[in-house]
Amino acid sequence: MNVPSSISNFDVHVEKRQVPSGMWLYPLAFAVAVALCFVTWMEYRLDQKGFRATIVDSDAEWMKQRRRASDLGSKALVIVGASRAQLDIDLSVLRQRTGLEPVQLALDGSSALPVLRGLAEDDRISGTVLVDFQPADINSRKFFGQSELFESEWDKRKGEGEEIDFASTERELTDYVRTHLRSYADGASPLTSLLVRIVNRESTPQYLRVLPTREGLADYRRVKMPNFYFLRVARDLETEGGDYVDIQSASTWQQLADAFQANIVKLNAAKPDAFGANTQDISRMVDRIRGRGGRVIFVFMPTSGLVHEILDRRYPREEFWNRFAESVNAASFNSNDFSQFREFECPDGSHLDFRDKTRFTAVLADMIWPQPLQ
Amino acid sequence: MLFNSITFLVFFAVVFVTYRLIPTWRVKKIVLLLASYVFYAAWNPPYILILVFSTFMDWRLARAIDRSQSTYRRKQLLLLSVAANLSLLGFFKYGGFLLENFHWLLSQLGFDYAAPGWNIVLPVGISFYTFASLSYTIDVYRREMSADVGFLDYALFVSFFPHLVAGPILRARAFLPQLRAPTSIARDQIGWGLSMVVFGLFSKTVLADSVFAPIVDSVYSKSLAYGALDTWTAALAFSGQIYYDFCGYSLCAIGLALSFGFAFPDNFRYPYAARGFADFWRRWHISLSTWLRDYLYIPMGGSQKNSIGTYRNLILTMLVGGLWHGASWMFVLWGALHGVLLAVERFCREHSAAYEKVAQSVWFSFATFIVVTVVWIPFRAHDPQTAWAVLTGLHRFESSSHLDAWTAALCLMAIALTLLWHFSLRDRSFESYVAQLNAVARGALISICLIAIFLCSGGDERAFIYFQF
Repeated sequence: MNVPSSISNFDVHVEKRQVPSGMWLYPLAFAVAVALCFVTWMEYRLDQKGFRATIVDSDAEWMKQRRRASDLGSKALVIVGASRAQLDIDLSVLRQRTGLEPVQLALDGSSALPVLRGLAEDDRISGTVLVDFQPADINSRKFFGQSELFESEWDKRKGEGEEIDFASTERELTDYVRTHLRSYADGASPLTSLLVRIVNRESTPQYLRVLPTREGLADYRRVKMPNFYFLRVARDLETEGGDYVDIQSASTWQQLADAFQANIVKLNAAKPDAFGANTQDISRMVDRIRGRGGRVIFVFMPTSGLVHEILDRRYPREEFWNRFAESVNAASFNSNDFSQFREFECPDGSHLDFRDKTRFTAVLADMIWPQPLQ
Repeated sequence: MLFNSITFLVFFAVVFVTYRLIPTWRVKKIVLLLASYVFYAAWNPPYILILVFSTFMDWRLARAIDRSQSTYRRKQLLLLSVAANLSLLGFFKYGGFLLENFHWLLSQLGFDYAAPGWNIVLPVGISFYTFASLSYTIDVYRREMSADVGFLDYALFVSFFPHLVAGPILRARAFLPQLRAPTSIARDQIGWGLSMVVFGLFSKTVLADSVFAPIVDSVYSKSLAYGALDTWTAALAFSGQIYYDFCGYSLCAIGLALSFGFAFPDNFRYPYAARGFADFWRRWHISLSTWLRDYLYIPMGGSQKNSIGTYRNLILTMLVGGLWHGASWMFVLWGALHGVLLAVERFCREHSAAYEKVAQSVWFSFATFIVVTVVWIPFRAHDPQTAWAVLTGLHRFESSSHLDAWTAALCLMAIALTLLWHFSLRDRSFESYVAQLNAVARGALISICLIAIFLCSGGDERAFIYFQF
């Protein structure tokens, strides 16, 4: 459709817009087809590289589970902690063994304390709370990771009902699209997927997946070992104040292991900075939950190899775990104390492979709940 | 409901197909009106009542103004319409701000008074639909148009969803005649309209949100930590962000309206190629600047009075323009700065013979762009401390940059290309430019935009900046 050029689209009183002459609908349809082909190509390439669509472990997903924890009351088995709690525990096994309804609230790389505090302050929490004991977390004056942010966000939103409005509709639709496309796997943007996962031949394969229950699966067969293991050791060593070790520096893996070992030996035990105060705080939180008929259980999850040695060196058992277990009026299980756990090896030193989690959870559940719950 | 959301995509598909299938013009308009109310209710359903009340009141008042032969009564009715509209705007948009300032004033005078909390949520788009509605009653009062329009048509003019929440601010004189009778919508008009939506989403998602916003957010959140190079990059990035954000929204609005067969005016005309500040305001947010010109600046006397009167009118108009953007002294400051710049420019034009010659140069356009960029700082800063920190950061020399080199380089390159594009097309329309492209080039251009939108999706979802105004 053409209109005389004397009519300007810039005129605020325009009643008919000038449309550029020629075809527009077919080029638009062609463009949509090209864009769909591009998306399909990306999905195909990602599929070839072994990527699968996942949910995005977002604040919205966490809030959904947080709401469940309150709604379930005494039937809830709430899991709090960091990546070990998220990757090592099989929720369906827990459900089967305990008859309780597991709720996954663990957050990768985050302190458990803010979430535990929130649960203690919530009068509707009267079930069982399983806490992943992290000595670094309990010894820290500051919380790390997203848990404090998520908890304060929950505090603001907990009064809101699950209304159908623009925000919730958009969230549902977006989640639907993203959980069905590999381009958004693990919360990546399609641009990141293209540049990091498709174009880069040396990209790290997708070894982590988060299920809709927020349960994590780690497949360590998909990563290059022992590079991946040593990268984790190097990271943990630096976090705990050790010297930086360049994993390219050694000519054999044994040399590299020796270099790490030499640095780990130099590590001093952590000063119990905030440990006492935080333990007292936790003790009060436990009492509040117990006062409502709930139960709190602390579990020191298994670690292996040099990662285990770093933790041992920095947080000696007598100074940290023993003192904690004595001070807090809750059941406490240290995986190092039980022979049943020794067969479990953490491929990266810190987490279990998803093939082991079912067996591990069964052993853990049998230990905590030797008698089936009524 | 944001244009860059999946919910809107579904909403638009349903409304568009229904609209196309219905044969009756009146029913088509009813469908569009209901859809517009659903669109508005997506934010805050009860606020639909304010929109309906405001619409009904202005429709009734305009009819009464039109019928009355008494100048005195007509003026009274107009004043009632203006007062009612501005009261609604004042209550919802400026109530908290006025209370806060009143509180501050009393505390300065030594009175210990604690103002009650003001937790009223601003109805989205109220500034836009109030101005659109006011233009109608004022035009009827001026006898520039009659009020013989039915409520359905008038309600659709006020609430038609493409322009409802962030403009362009429509003129009743231009839109109401389009509702009188159906027009045939050519296939390629729909194609072009939807292509404009794609270009608008590309501007918003790719350029504003992915290229410019990360730099702006980093520097403005820790403005003291950055040196001159980073701060200039952020200042230039905000010029890009606000342009592509708002221009992107306007393109979507115009394109959507066009696909339903309606014409909205352009809201931007290559503003960063402006030669001076008066020219900038002829090219930036045209529907607001012309509204302020027609309903505020000219009624105040415009440039018909002496020079001092003209300068005063310019500054007052821009102060109101600044305040229109939000209840904050930072917006008032931004408006005042533009008012002063317009007055100074007018003074130079009136008193220097060489001015017109200088103003023709590309360097003058570039200087205008740089000043506009600096003046955006209070607009973006939210508080005087941040604004000051960013302003001082413009000459805080540091040997290294804290910004990611690639992101900063991409941002500066995008700004350079924007300037080049604006300078080269400053006297042409976008339509005349794309009309030169053949079908394959058109398809390729839209494909690139669609693929880029997909690639940049999934990150930080941002609302359009102008929704808050």
